Amino acid sequence: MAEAYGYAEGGRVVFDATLLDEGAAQLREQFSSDQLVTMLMQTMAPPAAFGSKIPGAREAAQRTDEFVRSVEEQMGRAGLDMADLASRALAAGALARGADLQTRAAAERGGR
Amino acid sequence: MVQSFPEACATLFEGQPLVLASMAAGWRNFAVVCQSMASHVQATAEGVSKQHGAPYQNFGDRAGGMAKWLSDLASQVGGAAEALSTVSMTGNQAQWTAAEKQAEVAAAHAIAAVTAPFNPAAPAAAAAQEQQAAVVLNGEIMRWSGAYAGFTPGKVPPAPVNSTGGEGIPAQATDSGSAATPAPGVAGPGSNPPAGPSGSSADPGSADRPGSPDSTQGHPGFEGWVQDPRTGYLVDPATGREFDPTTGRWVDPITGQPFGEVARYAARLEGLQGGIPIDGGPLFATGGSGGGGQLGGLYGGVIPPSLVATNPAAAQLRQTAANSMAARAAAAASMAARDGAHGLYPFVPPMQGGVGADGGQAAAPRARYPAEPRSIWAGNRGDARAAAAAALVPPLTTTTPQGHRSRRSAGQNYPAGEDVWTSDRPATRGVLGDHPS
Repeated sequence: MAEAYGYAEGGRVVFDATLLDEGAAQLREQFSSDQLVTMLMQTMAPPAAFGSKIPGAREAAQRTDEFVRSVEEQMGRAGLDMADLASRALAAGALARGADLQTRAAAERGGR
Repeated sequence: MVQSFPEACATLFEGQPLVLASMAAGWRNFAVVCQSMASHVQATAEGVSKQHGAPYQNFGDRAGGMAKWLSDLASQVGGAAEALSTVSMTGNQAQWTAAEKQAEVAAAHAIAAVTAPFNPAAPAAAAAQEQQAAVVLNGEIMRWSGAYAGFTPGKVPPAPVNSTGGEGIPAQATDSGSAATPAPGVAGPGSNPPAGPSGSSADPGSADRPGSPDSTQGHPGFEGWVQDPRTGYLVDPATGREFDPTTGRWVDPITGQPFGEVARYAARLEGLQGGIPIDGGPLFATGGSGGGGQLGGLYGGVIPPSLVATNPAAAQLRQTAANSMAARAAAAASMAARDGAHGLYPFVPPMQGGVGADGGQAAAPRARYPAEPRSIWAGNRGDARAAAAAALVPPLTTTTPQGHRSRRSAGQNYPAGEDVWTSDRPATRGVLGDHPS
């Protein structure tokens, strides 16, 4: 079994690579390319993540936006299929989060 | 600008450290995909470059440059994700501190309201405590602000494009069918894997973020407990007691240091070091009041070293411990609710809490295997219930974090001849030494 991995909030999670391929393909079926790219950008720079009251929060959010925009821009300039990347990144995240929760729950039950 | 206590609380809780943690995970996933694509592009470049002819060489050169750019991008995104994790952790710690201070200040004001008629100085003392808490929280705001200032992801370097105006390598042309599939560290030659959380270029995920929950291991027997991002200790939202998952020991509520033997032995009286068994004789017996006994019931039957009854300040220390545990419990419950609201990890409150209870340690039984007779578990549970009803379960058996003792005790009550060991099916040849000849 080929292994793939992704990241959830709790850290890195390893899973079957086939699942990743299937998950990415499913996302590409369900969403258009623009939607996938938008979803990825929202994952990478969600609005109001930094808040506004902590000093420097707005500036940090602005730097993040600029960075993410430049990623998108350069990807387009390079002619890379951003939707394909987005579907894989999103699928990896979703799989990692699901596996992370299940693993944690199983571990807390003492592996039973 | 120095903020008042309520203002500081509002400021700290307005931030979204958990969203930042999700962001960081998203960035890491993107970095992994970019790195994987870089490997495939590099492999494609090498394959094409082996062909003779200028067009092949030109394509190979372009693809090689693209692979290098993708790899650099993955490194940059991975590094930014690491910085984002640091910001998230700083914010998380600040919010924990704020939640703890909120509980402490609320308790101080509540006590002042009750005692004000016969202690006129009580409100002023509570106000002073609030002011001190405000100073602490303003420090946390500055720390979080500093983390924001240090977060500079930069800008992505220009992507290589064909000088004739053509575009780069289409993603599909690189057979990215397994974009995140290759194991970390197997990137193509000349590429640099993204800098991962550990900073290691070999494996972007070789270590979890500092202080983050360990996604692969969990903490058996501590379901519903919350990990304090400042210390890494697990906190019981019901009682405020702490457990160090690294050393496997309970944490003294006064000193904040682990004590005693590892938890799997914490329910046994022999071999204990650094703590006093609650029924362990003269030291506690001379203390009298019973507060230590109650606390000992929370710590696997062992009194934390700072709370032994022979300490002249035992009464004050017990009160201090109770106060700090109450504040910690409130903070843990608040943070657990926040985590649950974020959808990060669903919060399952401990089934029972309080002195002598098996707070948060009851584990769900595993599912019955198809081949197992139902009577295995039915008999076991029945015996356990009967045993519990027949006698008061002593605290030492109920506070074992792993629940080993409870299970072991129940296991001793299997009735002889139960159908666990019997089968209706005939034995096949070769069983029990009857080797086929």
